Amino acid sequence: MNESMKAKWTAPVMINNCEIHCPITCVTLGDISLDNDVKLIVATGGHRGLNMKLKVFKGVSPHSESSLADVPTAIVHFVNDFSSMPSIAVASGPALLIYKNLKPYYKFTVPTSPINPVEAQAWTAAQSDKISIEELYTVLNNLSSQISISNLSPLSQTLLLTPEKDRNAVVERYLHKQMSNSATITCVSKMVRSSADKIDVFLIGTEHSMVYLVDSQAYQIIGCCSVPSPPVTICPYGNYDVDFRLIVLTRDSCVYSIKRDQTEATKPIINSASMITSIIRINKMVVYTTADNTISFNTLKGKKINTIKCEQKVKMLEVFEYTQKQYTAVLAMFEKEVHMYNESYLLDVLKFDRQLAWIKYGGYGREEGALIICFKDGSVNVRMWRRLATFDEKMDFNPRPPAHSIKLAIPKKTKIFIDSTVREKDNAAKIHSAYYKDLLLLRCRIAEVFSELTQSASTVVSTDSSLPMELSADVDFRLIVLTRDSCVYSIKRDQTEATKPIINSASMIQLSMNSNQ
Amino acid sequence: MEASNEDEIIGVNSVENEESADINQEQKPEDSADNLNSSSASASHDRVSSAPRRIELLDCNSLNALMYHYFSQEEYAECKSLIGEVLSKYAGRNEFALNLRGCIARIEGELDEALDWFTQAYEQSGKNHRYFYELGRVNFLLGRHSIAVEQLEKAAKAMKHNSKVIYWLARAIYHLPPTKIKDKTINPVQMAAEVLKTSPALSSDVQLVGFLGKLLEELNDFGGAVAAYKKGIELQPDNTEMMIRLGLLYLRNSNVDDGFTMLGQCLAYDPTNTDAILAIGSIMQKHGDHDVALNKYRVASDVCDYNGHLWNNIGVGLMAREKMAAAHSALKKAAFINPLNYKISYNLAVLHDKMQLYASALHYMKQTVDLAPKNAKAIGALAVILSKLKDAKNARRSYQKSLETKKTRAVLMNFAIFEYHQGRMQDAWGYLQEFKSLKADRDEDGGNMNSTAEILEKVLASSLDKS
Repeated sequence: MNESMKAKWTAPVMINNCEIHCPITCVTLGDISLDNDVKLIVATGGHRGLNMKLKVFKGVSPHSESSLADVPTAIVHFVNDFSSMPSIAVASGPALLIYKNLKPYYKFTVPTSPINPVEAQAWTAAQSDKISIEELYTVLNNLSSQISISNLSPLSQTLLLTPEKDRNAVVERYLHKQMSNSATITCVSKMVRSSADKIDVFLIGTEHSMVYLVDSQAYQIIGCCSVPSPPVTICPYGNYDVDFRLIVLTRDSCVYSIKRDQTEATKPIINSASMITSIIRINKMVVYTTADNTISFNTLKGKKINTIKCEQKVKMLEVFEYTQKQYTAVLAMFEKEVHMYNESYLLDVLKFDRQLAWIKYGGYGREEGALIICFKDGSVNVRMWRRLATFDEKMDFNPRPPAHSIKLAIPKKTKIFIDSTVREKDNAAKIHSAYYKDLLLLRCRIAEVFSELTQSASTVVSTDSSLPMELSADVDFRLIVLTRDSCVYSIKRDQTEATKPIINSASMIQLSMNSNQ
Repeated sequence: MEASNEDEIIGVNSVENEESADINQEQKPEDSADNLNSSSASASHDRVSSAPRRIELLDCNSLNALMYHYFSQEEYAECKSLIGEVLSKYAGRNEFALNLRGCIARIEGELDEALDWFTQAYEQSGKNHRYFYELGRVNFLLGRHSIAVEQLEKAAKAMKHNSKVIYWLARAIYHLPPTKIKDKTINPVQMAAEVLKTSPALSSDVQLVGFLGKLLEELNDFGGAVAAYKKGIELQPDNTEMMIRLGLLYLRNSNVDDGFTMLGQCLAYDPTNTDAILAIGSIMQKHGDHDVALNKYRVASDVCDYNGHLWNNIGVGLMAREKMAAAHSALKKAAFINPLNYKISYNLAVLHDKMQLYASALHYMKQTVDLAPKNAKAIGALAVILSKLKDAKNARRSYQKSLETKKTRAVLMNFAIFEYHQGRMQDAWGYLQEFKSLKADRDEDGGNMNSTAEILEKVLASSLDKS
């Protein structure tokens, strides 16, 4: 890459004292204190369940943090009220935990899905003491072997997984409460309500294959739609009050487009043969990347515009939008590189010396156009988009030198080859007859020795099929050189001088013409 | 404090917990939030105060999203450890975790393990037939095709609209042994094609269409295969693989023009596609356009250096341009990559012959004959080289062997000339007559040989008359 390409981003600045290990879904950028200073917000500790924290970074240093009670699945920064502070929503389990100023503020739980009738009946019967706890357990256990335990309500799952001595306690505690079957949240994102007032609407996907639209002011469900498989990512287009499309990627690698008031999505707009690993919406394009290293650009209706075949695994995609120059592009993260593409060109390449974990693009501090780069080792860099950087320079997706500049890499011939060629040209018939004479002699000799061996030492040849003779061969590079005076020299690797011929008369001739030594 | 801490953890996942109004809000956001959540405030609670045990409502699906995230990022080590945790926490009853673990095992090539995981997932799912799809695919990879067919058929019934199931079913059927049913022989290729044709997804799924095209090609249904590939290109106009296959199919059916167009179209989409370059280069070389072909090969060799056929074609191209040393290097490289391809050693032999290195030419021609013992042309060429090495006895034997394998005009002609040089006019006359009785092939350079035959006939006639 030349200098002008490198200069698109400023030199990286490292955030001090920070080690972040979390999936990209638990990262967001936003202002949390009404001072128009955008901060980096992450929910960490997701995996091990230890040290679970909501951390905020301002500028190049940690700002504040707050502990979390449960494993976070995703977080989103949103605005629901202009007068008060922006909030953060942390999805964990079936609930969305709302934080204002890093203080817990509200908990929204996804509405319950229908409970299996047999299961509900069993619990009702247990409530009215018609069946005992043991019977309840048996009914639920049988049910779980008919339909999966994953399809039962959390309460029934708990009962089935509790050891026998604790079952009474579980039942007593929960028996007289209202049963609910709220599904775990799989993904959450936001969409503005209208372009006039930028208040957000939550988009929540659940394990029970539902997509909910939730008003962020009153926490009312304002829309829901079922999809055939649990959603992985929801990308909104448009705004709620006018018109919108939700581009939903599901676990079976299908992409659905959901309109307003649609309650069931059945026909995918994109059905990829290979697993879709990441999806984004940029302008009027849906861009996704698959497990076989391609990035596809599609219209909102799923029609393919272009495909990039990459040489490495594309880890994730991120939207690049620079409003001042109206630039939009796709940032594709690889193992140690970040490429910037639009639908027809490669625009920029960033290279790193360490493995990347995730990238996040957005405003940071008071600046627009920051790229937050998190490495596998937990360190985080920030780079800013240069104000003077342009997209004037464009490259093909997989830049290749033009045909005329490539040379065929034909191996050169050595002097030995030329010499032996000249010699063979002159004495072809002689070489041929000598070769055949010696081949015959060699065969004769082998036959002689073999018959001798079979008669004298029987151990050399295995007569027992269960104990086959073991043969091993050591292969090394060796050059057999026949000189004018009919001496054959054997030259080993790295040998610089051959003095003692191995054979004086040309008994076996092998012209080695492929040697490049 | 200890007890109150435990209280805090109670019902973290639950919707119905509301008994912890007294706790510190700083630490327990969702409990305080819960108070606002009116939906769950109605139930009365009777607390088991005697045993303040930690009772959490469990949902075995709670970490599925995270597991899927790691899986899609190909972070299998992380994913496996998370799955291990989930399985031990939920007593191995999370079907999604088991399914993902199976997928990882399959990707890592641990097929027996994968089979085990998928079977467990199937058991946990309440015998959901969807898992027969995964099981069938693993059995397919293990080469147990008949089991795979059974399982995939069940899966196809369970998932009627999934074209991937049909695809794998067809592939499994394709590999079945030909005689399967007692009364009549059933051609598995035919069967697989039938399965594909009856699938409703055929008109929209490129994978199915492409495989159908391949099957029809094998069934020698040229028209059908062309139609299938055309449909595939119509569905995905940038599918270069379809274009190559269609192009090669045209070439095989000696429709060079359409084949050339199709391959050219493929190169327009992907100028570095080595398959297309090789095919289109070979067409050019057939028409003697070696310079353009070599130009094309430059790109191909840059992308894919380790390709014997490519270097063979480069070698032939260089040979045609009389660059013998370079041609030799290229062909040697080709032979190094593909040592068992007789065409490469044949070309090497021809090259050595052209360079008057007859001993080496003989070596490579012998190799060719060893690799392709039924090739009369190679044996005939061997005879020519032997005669140049003045080994008349072996040369004659080779000629005879070649004619035994298959009578070709070129070999007969060479044999006649050889016998003439050896002074056996009568034999030469005989072979010449035989040569004349054979009809010329389509793509043979007849004129040159016929004129040689006439000259030889005249010479032989005069010398026979004398004797």
